[in-house]
Amino acid sequence: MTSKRQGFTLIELLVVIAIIAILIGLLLPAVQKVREAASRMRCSNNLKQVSLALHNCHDTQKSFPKNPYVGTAAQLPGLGWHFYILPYIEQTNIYKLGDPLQSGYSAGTPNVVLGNQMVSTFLCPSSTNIESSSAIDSPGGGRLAKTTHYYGNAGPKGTNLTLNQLYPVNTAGAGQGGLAAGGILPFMVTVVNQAGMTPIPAPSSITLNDIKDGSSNTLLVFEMSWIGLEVAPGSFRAWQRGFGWNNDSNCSKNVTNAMRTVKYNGGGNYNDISMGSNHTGGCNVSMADCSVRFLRDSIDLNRVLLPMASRDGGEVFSD
Amino acid sequence: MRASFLFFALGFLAGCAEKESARFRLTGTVTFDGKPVPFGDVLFTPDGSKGNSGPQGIAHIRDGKYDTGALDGKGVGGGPTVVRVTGLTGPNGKLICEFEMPADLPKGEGKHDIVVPKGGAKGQKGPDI
Repeated sequence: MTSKRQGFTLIELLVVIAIIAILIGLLLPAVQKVREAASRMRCSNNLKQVSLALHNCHDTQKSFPKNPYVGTAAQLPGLGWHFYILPYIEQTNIYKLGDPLQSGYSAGTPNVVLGNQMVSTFLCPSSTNIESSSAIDSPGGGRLAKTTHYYGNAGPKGTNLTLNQLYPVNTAGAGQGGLAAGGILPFMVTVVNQAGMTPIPAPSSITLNDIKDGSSNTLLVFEMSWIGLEVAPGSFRAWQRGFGWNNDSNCSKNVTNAMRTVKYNGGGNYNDISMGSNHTGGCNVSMADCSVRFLRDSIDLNRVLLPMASRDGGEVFSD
Repeated sequence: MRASFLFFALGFLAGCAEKESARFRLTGTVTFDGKPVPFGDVLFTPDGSKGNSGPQGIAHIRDGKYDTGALDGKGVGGGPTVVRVTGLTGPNGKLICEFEMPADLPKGEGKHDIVVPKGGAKGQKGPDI
């Protein structure tokens, strides 16, 4: 008599379960990595949206957004470029809440309340710090304003190795490192150069034609969201702020320091904070042709990063 | 035959390693007006006006000393360098001095003491921004 075996033995079942357990064990750490990869992709998509909005703004206004610095005596700090591109990222309703003719964050203006609004397109999902580090731009009620992780390229600060001369920097704003003028979203386009240099006539606002180095070779927007920037005195401020009373440039930064190196130290380096992100090995940047790239954090400062930030320095570089 | 293929493949992989310029550890003291600077940071930027390029180093000042090998520090590249010192009385404290000076740093692990001249005095609270 032959009897056919039915079902599995206990040993067979245990072996199958053990194999499945090993497979899950292999998969789990990979899932964490996938999460960071997804955040990085969302971040590069945000940068793409912001860059396209800047281009749409350029098409409508015939120039990239101007960062107003209204009045010389009063030094009324205006709103930054983040505010002016809101209609182009389908945030017209937030745009309508602001008033471009008033200060960016003074108490009692409609603009200070803009800090209540979180615009997720301005935030990198890999960074957990989404609030201003200072109570100075608080929208009221003891809350901190929402911040941004994407900053415009005001221009390089340092020496142009090709021409062997200094990059143009406005002496205004010197209290926080000066305001670079050789980028695409600088604060002041009428250049008052560093001492000892003849003033260079600059266009009234930057257009694509002014990017002589080529739009695919020039930085437009970069990430500044790396962990440690929130440590007091923190480097983040309300997202809508432009240029402030105390020489602080909020929506655009000078490119003068290596990636993930310099934080705001409470002294005079607010405009010189390093770019950088929490993504492994570098940060996302967008170029003036709207392409988004990932820059390594070991990128050479004087030979690549500064030339990449300048719009008309005539440099040759490869990264 | 199989071994030679393996070496061939390894040769390809070796090409993928990224070459990064060397960083060296730098230590030293920071004094201003004869007294050690209690807090702040020192930034070492390769001097582009002298044709130098490479990694940018940073170190934090604690009780008059700095060490690029300490927490949050980054080693220097050596050669002609612009040294920028920001001295504070303490965390979130008053600004004591802020000064930039050129230096020629060793291309290797070394020691460099920084003396901030009187011209670098600030003596004020950093602006509220």
